[in-house]
Amino acid sequence: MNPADPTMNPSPPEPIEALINGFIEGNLDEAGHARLIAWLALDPANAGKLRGDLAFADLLEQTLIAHRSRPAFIDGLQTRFHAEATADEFLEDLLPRLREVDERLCGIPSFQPRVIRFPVRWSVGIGLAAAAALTVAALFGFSRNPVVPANSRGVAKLTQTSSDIVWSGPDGKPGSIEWELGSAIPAGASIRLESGTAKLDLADGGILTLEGPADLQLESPSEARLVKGNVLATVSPGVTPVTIHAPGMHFEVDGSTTGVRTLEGDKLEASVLSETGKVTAMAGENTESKKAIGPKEALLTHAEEGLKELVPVDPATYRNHFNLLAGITSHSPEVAVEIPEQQLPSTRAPIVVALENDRVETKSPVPVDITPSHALPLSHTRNLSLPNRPALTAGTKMRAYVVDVGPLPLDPKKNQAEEAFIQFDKRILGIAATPDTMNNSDAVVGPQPADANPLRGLPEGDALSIGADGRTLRIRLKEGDRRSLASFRVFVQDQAISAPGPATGTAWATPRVLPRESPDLTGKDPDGRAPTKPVPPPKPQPGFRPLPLPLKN
Amino acid sequence: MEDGDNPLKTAASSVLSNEQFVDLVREHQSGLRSFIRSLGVDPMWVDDLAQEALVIAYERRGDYETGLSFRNWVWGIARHCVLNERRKFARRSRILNENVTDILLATSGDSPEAEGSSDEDKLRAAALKACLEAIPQRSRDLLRLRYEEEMKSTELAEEFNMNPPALRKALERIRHSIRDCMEARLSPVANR
Repeated sequence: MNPADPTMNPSPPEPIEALINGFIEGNLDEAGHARLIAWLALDPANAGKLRGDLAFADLLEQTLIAHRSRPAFIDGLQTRFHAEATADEFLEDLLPRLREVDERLCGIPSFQPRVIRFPVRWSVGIGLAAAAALTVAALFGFSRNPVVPANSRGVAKLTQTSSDIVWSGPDGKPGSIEWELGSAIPAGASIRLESGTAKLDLADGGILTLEGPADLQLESPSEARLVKGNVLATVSPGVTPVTIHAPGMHFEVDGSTTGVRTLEGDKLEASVLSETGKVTAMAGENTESKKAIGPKEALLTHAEEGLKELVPVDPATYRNHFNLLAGITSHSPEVAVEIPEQQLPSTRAPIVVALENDRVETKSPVPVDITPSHALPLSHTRNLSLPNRPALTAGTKMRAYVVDVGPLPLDPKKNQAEEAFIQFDKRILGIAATPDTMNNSDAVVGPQPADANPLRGLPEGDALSIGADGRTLRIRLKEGDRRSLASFRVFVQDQAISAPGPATGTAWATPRVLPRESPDLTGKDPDGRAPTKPVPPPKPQPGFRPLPLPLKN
Repeated sequence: MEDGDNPLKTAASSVLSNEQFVDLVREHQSGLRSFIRSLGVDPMWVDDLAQEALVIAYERRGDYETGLSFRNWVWGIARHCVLNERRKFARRSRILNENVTDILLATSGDSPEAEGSSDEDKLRAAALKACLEAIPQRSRDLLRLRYEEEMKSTELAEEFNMNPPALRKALERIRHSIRDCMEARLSPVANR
């Protein structure tokens, strides 16, 4: 039987056929769906007909559409296996043989695609990725740590990584997938980090940053599954909400910057770090059991017990995420801090210094809060208008560092404060330690995203001073609540920075816990001298080391 | 090769070898994708779900009882993938309509054997190829632009000097005629 020319056939399809075709084409409206469902309910055979029509439609597409063809599917599948099971020896066996194209069922000469187009599905892009991956694999003999090259499609794109990133394999298994910058991450692929931070731009507009050790699986352009670690979801107002699935919980992030992290004992914590937006937490599959988390709130949950309690927000956990969002991809090898008395868990650092820009040149005066010759208390500079503050003169060449100060677990009842010193290899020119001066100097340092760390500047009770040597920064921090993650910016005299390696001129200060009644160091050393504690000799710094270091006096 | 002829069936208690798994994937991938689509999955996501089902099948190949049909086993996994898709909380659903999929799942039964065999897949593919070659040139052009070039109805209507509803109906009729042609070609097989 040969089909006649249906385009010339005047007989219209039956109404139910129109419904079925509308469903197959995906353009049925709500009323159409209701009519279709009513028809399906009439007779079980109707469902059989619909299933048959859908299966036929799929076979037709497999035959006629390039990205649904058998080779494209096999390409997509082998890349999926690449992502899912790289540690398995199966791959070494599977990939070359899957690549053999079986012509038995493929190809209809008159319908062979002339040009492969790349529509919305990611599998074509994955096909390209697979081809490239196979090339790489062929060159390197199927290395156990494959590098996934960049391509143009996926549910997310890897847009930034920190310089200290170390990729990881599945728990307890060797082998890791090292995604290249610019890689399109397909649905179902896992991002596994041993350390460092990675930024993923979701196709639906949300941004995820992940800090190792972590394991995150991308499920769709707006969904990810956190297996372990901590992830920061940045969802601007109006952007499709992002859902973070985690063991026993789901968090829908809507118009907010929200961190989710796994904790010991099957616990999870979700923190809304932004001033606006919200998060809806849902326990298990039961979407009725849900709780809204507002700005500056954090919810502790348990995989089995469900929603637990509101806890203080802990933004310090996400400082490296914020740094990555702000464009800071490397920590500074020139400075380091040890705080022997601190009691923070090993994954937390009370002070982190990172290089923002090593080539800053001012074209006009840049107001700051503290300079070597203007050491006003922070509480005082806050009340000054920008033009009345001390300023770095136009034409100054310098480096900019950002210093993140985390919450301190000191006991308020003991009236403690903590003191630390950071010594730079060149003279400090000025410090922007209030939101006004930080925001104002952003333009000089480089563009800052709106979703960077919202907690800028130091609280009024904290104190900064520049030592007599001009290179040592003295920091005195009050006992803090857990919301006290803050950041400030230090401008240092310009110097060509050598490749990461042992730093020159770096000295280590010895922070110590001081009683509350210690002299107020706000803005200036009381005696104008360098810190009284002896400064240890320079130590080789092969690169950034996570803080704190387990030193004891 | 039909499952009944598969040496796997006689190699009781042995785990699927990689070679066997690859062969079975190549044999069943087309039918698997059509089966997933038949449950009302958005065509955009059919291949993704098929890949998920095959990844799960590979990971759990130790559970595969070689006395059973591979097709039956993988279809069962795929069905669960769609069920899971239906149940899970997701703003971006991968199915076209939850209620329709519920009905399609409920009526598809637990025995996907009824969905056919890989031999039937091959026959269907061959029949489709023959029917596509037999349709008039104008219909062939229309299908080529609709599927290969992925032109929208409005673009196609302009190309063929038709209004969009008439164009959509023309496409429906072409598909129906191909379907009728396929059924006519397959009927002797079906009646055997």
